[in-house]
Amino acid sequence: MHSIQLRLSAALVAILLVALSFLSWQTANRAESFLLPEVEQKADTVGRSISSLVGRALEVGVPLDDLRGIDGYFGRILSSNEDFTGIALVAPDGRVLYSTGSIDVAANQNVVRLPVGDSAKPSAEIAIGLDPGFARTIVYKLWIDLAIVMFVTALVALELVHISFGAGVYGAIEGVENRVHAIRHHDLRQHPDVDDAGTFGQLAAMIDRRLRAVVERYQALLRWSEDNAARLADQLRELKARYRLGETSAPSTTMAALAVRAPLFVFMFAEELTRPFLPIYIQQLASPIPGLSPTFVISLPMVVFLAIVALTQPVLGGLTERYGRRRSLVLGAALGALGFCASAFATDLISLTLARAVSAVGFALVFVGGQGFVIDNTSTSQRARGLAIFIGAILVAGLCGPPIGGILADRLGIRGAFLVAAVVAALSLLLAMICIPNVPGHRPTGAPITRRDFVNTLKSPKLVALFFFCAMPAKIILVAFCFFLVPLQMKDIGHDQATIGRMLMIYPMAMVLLVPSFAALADRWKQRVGFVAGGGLVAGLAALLVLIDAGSLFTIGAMLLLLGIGQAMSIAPQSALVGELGRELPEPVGDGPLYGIFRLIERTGNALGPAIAGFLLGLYGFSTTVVLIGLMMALGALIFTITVFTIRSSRGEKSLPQVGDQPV
Amino acid sequence: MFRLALRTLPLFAVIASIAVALGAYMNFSGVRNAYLELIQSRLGIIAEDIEKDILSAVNLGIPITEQVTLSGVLNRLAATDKSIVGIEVIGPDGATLFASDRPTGVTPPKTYDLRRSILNDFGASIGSVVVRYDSNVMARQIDQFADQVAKAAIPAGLCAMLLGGLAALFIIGRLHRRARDIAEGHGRDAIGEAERALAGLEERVAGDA
Repeated sequence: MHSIQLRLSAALVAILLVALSFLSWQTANRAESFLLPEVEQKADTVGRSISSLVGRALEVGVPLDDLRGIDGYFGRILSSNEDFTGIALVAPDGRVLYSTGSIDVAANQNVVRLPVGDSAKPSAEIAIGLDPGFARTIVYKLWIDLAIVMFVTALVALELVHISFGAGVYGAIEGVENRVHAIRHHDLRQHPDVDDAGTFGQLAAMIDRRLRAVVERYQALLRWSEDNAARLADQLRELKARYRLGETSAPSTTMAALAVRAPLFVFMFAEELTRPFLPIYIQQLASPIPGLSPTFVISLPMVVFLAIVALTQPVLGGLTERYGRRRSLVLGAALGALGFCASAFATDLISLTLARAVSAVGFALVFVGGQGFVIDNTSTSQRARGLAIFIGAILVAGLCGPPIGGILADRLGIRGAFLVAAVVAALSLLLAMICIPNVPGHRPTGAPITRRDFVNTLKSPKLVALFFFCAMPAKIILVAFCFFLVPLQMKDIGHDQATIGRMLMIYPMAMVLLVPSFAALADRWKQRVGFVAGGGLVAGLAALLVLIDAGSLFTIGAMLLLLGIGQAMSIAPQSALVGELGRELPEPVGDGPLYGIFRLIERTGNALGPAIAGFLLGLYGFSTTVVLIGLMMALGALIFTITVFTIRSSRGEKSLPQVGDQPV
Repeated sequence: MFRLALRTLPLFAVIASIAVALGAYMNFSGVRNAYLELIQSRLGIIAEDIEKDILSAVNLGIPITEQVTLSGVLNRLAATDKSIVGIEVIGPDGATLFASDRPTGVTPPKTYDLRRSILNDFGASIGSVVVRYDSNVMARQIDQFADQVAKAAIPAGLCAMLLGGLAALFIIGRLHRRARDIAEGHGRDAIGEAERALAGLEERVAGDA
């Protein structure tokens, strides 16, 4: 992450903080005059209702000071009206006979009084205290949502900031920033050239000239030293160590690959918007299908979506290469927008499933086209960085989308939120047209996956264990919990979609923050197997938390956090292990087909997730379903560990060979 | 340099205005929902009171269709708020059994209707109470409030855009200044230090030669 991006985003957050605080303060002031008359009217109505009840009791001869149960009655009214502070029944002589909450019956302001019986000569008086801060409370409660808006805005700014400059100028700014940063830290390595004729390009070239001149002088001295019996060698070594003279810094992210980030991020953001409300929407539209449980029926549109994504990706890889990545991204974004629109107007389960199928083809096209674009525009040494950009955009979209989607669904309704998603997908289409260069397609160059590749790969028990007992369950648990079970459960226990959206932020947040650290630790400690198995156990056993209290937000949040931690532990080492274990295969399989098989199995897990969750939910309910899926995950991790260690010890191996990072 | 900073302005303008617009809408809709809930709650209390009266009479053996005093009760309750256009008691077959008096010669406005089923002791519906509230009153109030929020949001959004542009100018300008200092060799930097160290060594080499 470059500090220029961070600074611009931080500035934006600071400005928004001020703007939204001002707006909130103004709204609170105006809301007071807007809501208070209505609160008074309501208090008047409630007062009349109480007065009528008390009046009837007095009519049948119940003494005023012996009205049994009136405290409980007042308490019930008070608890269901947060705009009231207290209710009291006052005798004609001013004595408070019954009172609940906090109320000053003598006050002139914020108290509504109603007579009991004849208003000219009342038998008693009902006094209702109004909360003067009610309007402010309403506005200030919105601050959680406003904070999310600010957070998401900062992330969006981070993602999109390079668009405003254009890739060339942004590359130059980044290049200059890298140079300034390095020089401030006494790092005088050479940097890759900046290809820009503008102000920052010129500055980079000037700095490079200074750096080159220093290096040339150093090298001249070095040559002299070599010719003169190593005199000055110590001083030159010291200089080299201090300033890293003569070295070249690693190439930064290729700007060409960066072009895909904005359209990809915006499209994925559109899809992620639907996460908190999609299962609820399906539930609303679903009608019973004989022989299938209602919860299984609810899972069907999600299964169709994820199955299409899984099954079309191997085919689409070659197609997007042949017809051009830009065209694929544009077509995918158009299909996505169409699918979201159709989802908004769906009238039943079948029409929604068809709409989601269209979206799925769009999603697969954008995903495969974007990934292919990164591969086309990176050298082998830049590939991992390029794919990290790609994965990063998807993860950040996963973080931003659900909370905003939840807020939109709460305010605009689910259909309205789908239409917003369609607009966002259409925006990604525009961005794809603007940002992605129009390079004609060509014949596919990558080797397709053959049956022999499958057979050879599945001959390795370790790879089988990794694929089917770790990778696939990891996707099943992710989709089952985050996309299906948690939204439905939270809706059942009475939470709105904004709360569901906020809850769904926990998982991607853990991933975004922890994946790089765990990946580095797994490599440093040479413990990829341990991290994969440990992550699986953490994620799986997290499900047991629902046994404490499945109806508690805290429990569900803790479960999702542990799921995120577990997945963050295992996801990068899992990818790296595929290549590592692939090199042990007796009949070699290329990295391309090997990773293709791995992704296909993962995506099959995605498609199975909602189906398994829907099936189990119909049979056993939320808690048992969650526990069963969690135990399946944990058991899978154990089987993987036993398989790896059994085979390792049987061959007398001491440790698995470690290789460099593979694409994630 | 200034032109470069201006290039960030459109992005900042779009992002800041979307964020402020979303924030303004959330503020507005949060208060609007509270307003609508207050009205719904008030109408609900009125409907509940009528339901209690009806059920009390039913428990005394008076069928709903014969509770002739209901019209007076409905009129009295409707008169407590001029925005209540009417209150009706509807039979299980959908026919209106009793209704508050409607003002004559006035076109009935569009109404927001709150309906509450009247359930007997066995949980069966014996009718429903409908309280009709003047939608125009609600819409007028909400529109006024929306105008007020918009009046606050527009300057806030414009200021955010302007400040965003200035912030971008400042941040990029600062980077530009630092880079220019290094490029032109002004001030102390690591390149200068290395140059001085190399110059020292070069002097020694020259001395040796």
